[in-house]
Amino acid sequence: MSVLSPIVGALLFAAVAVPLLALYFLRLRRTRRVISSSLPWVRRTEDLRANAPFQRIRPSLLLFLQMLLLALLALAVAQPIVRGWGVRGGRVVMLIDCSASMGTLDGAGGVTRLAEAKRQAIARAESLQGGGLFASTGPEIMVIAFADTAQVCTPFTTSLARVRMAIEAIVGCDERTRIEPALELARAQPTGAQDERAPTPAAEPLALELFSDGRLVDGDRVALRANESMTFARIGSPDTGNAGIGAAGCERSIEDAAQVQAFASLRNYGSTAVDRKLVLRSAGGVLGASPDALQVPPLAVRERDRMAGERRMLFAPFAAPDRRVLEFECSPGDAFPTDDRAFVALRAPRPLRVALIGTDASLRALLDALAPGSLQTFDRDAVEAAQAKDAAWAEGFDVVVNAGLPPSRMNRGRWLHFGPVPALDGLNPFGTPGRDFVQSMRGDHPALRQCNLNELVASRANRVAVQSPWQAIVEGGKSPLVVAGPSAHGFVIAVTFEPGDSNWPFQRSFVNFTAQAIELLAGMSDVASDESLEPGAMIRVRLPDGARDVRVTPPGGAAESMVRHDAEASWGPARRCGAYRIAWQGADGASGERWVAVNMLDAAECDVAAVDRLTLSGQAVRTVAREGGALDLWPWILGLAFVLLLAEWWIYHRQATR
Amino acid sequence: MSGRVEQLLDAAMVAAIERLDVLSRRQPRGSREGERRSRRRGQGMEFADFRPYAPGDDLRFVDWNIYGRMERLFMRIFLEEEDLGLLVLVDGSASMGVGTPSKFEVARRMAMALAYIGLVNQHRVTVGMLKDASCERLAGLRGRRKAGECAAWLLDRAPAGALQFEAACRVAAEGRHGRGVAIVISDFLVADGLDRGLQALVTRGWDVVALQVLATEDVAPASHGIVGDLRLVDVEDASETEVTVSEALLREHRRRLEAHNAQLRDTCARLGIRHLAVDTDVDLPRLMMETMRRGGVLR
Repeated sequence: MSVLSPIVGALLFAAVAVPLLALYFLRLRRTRRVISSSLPWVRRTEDLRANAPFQRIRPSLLLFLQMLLLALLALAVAQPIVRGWGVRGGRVVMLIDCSASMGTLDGAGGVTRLAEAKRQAIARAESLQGGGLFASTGPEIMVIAFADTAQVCTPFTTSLARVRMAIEAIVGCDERTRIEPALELARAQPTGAQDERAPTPAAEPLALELFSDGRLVDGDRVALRANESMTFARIGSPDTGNAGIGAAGCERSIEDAAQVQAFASLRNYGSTAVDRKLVLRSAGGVLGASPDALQVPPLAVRERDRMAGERRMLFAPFAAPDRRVLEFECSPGDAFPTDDRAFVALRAPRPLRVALIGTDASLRALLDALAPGSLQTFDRDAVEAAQAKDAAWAEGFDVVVNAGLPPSRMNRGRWLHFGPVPALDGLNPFGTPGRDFVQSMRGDHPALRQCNLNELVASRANRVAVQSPWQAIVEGGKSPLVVAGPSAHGFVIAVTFEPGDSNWPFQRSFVNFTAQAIELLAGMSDVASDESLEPGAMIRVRLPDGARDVRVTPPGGAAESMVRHDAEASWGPARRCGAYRIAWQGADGASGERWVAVNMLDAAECDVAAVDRLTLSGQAVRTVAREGGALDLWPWILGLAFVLLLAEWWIYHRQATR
Repeated sequence: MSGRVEQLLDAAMVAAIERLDVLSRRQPRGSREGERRSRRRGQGMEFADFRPYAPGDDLRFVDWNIYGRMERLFMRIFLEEEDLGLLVLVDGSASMGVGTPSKFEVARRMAMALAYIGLVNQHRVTVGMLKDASCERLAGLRGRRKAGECAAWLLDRAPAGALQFEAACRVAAEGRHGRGVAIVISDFLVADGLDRGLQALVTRGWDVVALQVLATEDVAPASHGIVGDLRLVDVEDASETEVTVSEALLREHRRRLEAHNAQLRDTCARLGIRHLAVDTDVDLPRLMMETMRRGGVLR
């Protein structure tokens, strides 16, 4: 327990106790009367009046009660509080989680976790900032709201009003939870103290108070510094379960591009199996539905891993010859509504666009067979000229098969590359080309299904060292033979030798590999659906030449202008799930539109059970009580004082009338 | 009648009480012949019984008529007339000085009246003043002519000091003046020793009458200005009691006084003591002629 205004309380006590005690030293000058005997008389006085200066203090129940009453009143004015947690430091940073999981409706009274976190944070700020009627200063408080990104709601301030307004202004989003950006912001903010002689922020203690459900995806990657302390106010219940959509997508049929196959996956993060129904809608019409009771198995916990129960649903193909937004809805809803719906922006059907750079006859023959009518062949000079004119030239194709362009000239796109390995981040060529053969391969890779590479021999395989996020999907005896991975250039599947330098073109596995690699890369393009983003990502769209007045309409919001960069427009981050409509005016005056779906499908975020124990890089964070704010005692003390006053009044009148 | 007596009893009062006598519920044995019958057989005028003659008997009391008829000697026995011891004790403590008129003044007049009655009836009268732990006495009074001396003695006394009732009563009871009627005139406002003091008198054979005199301000203090914030000083032991006199406190005072008086009455009843209570506004002739006769103190 601590006292907010001890000096005021002590002054009040001293100011009143001394005169009160002095009053008891005063006495009434009584008239002296001689009587026969004091036998029938009993001493009984009502010392309400006094006209003589001094008497010896006598034991008095009323005096005791009055002093006790005064002490209680002084204590109430001193405003004692019981602090549930936290030690006041010079600077306090409130980290308020506003991620998707904080939208879970398991707060008291059916409020969201974010609302509960804001309530607790405000109560905590009031207690830190004095909160008392007579207190004026407290520690500097900074408020940071964070999810996938973080933002300072208010810098360090001693103004409780500013802190309260900043906390109340925090709105939730559907992003995942990363605490690292919040910590970086907290450490970077200078103190609001005006005293230049004050110690530097780095040396000053920093009290971090985290209001979150603890579902941090980067808890293992951050650690507290020596001058930092953190308390964790757990918001939400560890028993809250959730079942929702874990994945959703669609594909156009290769045979009939107007036919679409949709699929979705239901995930259950609860401890018991649940029944859900999945409905697929478009433009208000129902395109498909699962059985009413699609049972989703419960969460499986293996040591520290929590594996959500999963149930997949494949919808019957339906005709979709035009652009549309598909909406998957899981019912009945639960405490976490964010993942109960998912969106897919389906593009209008169009043929596959494949570019071939080089003159490899075997490749050309194969690609002609795989993508009839959509293959365009370029030589090296033509590509360089095209890329000089348009840096995003490669992104104009679903897949670019490169068997002639130097790797250093590869711009952003989806590449199936043969030959010398490009020097990309995590991909480091070394040594001289040499003969190699297959040692092992990842048979589960989408590009390597049904491929038998045992007979493959490359006479001039380039050597390369692979680092994350690249994967060696085919290992040779001396170096990886096939690698795959994302990079600044888009997504690349690189074969470290040219087909002509191996016996691969004569094997069936070459056909399978090439076809599956093109299908994999094409699937990453918008050939079937427009881009699907995670909450927090920037929306970037490539626009037709001459497009203007590009605007984005968030779900449930008003249209906003997008920022143009050459042929690309961007807006964001898109912090809420839903279908974002991007519209523009074309050069010919016709309007165009695209849709971008933003879905929360992150398993870590959708597992909304609040953590029991939060750790940052193995270091446990002290969890504080749910109602950890300071408990004001003065109303209780005033109540007790009132009861005491009634007792004193009763005793006084009982003595006077007895 | 001397002037001193008239200071205490006016002529009408004297005339009225001359016809009264002190009534004892016991047959006292006086030290000399008086005007009262005694259980002691002797030379009185009232025949009591016969008894056989024994050598040495006074032959003047032989009944010669019986001897003539029966030829046996029988002695005639008469009830001897004995005098009555009357002990009038007045509380001379300071508390008796309270009241208007004071309790002592009233008690002194009552004592004079009772002593006068005893003197007129040839009783052996002793007046005493209970003071502190002793008793001043004026003994050996008999006959009307001693009334002046008695009055002078009483008039020379004034209330003072704190009475130790038990000790004073023991002194009074252990005197050598024999037994008879002891009339104690006091306010009996004593905390301790009340019953033991009275019992000491009873044990010594006195037929005790307790005559309680209370001032009106003892009974109704509010009517005598005892109201408000006061420091009450006990006139005897000078102890002080601070009070705020309120209706509640007056009720409490009345309750305690009545409880004390009830205890006195109970003590008197238990010891066979007649108890009369009067206040200082009492009509003395009426007290003597009616109340005390009705109470069996006088006849």
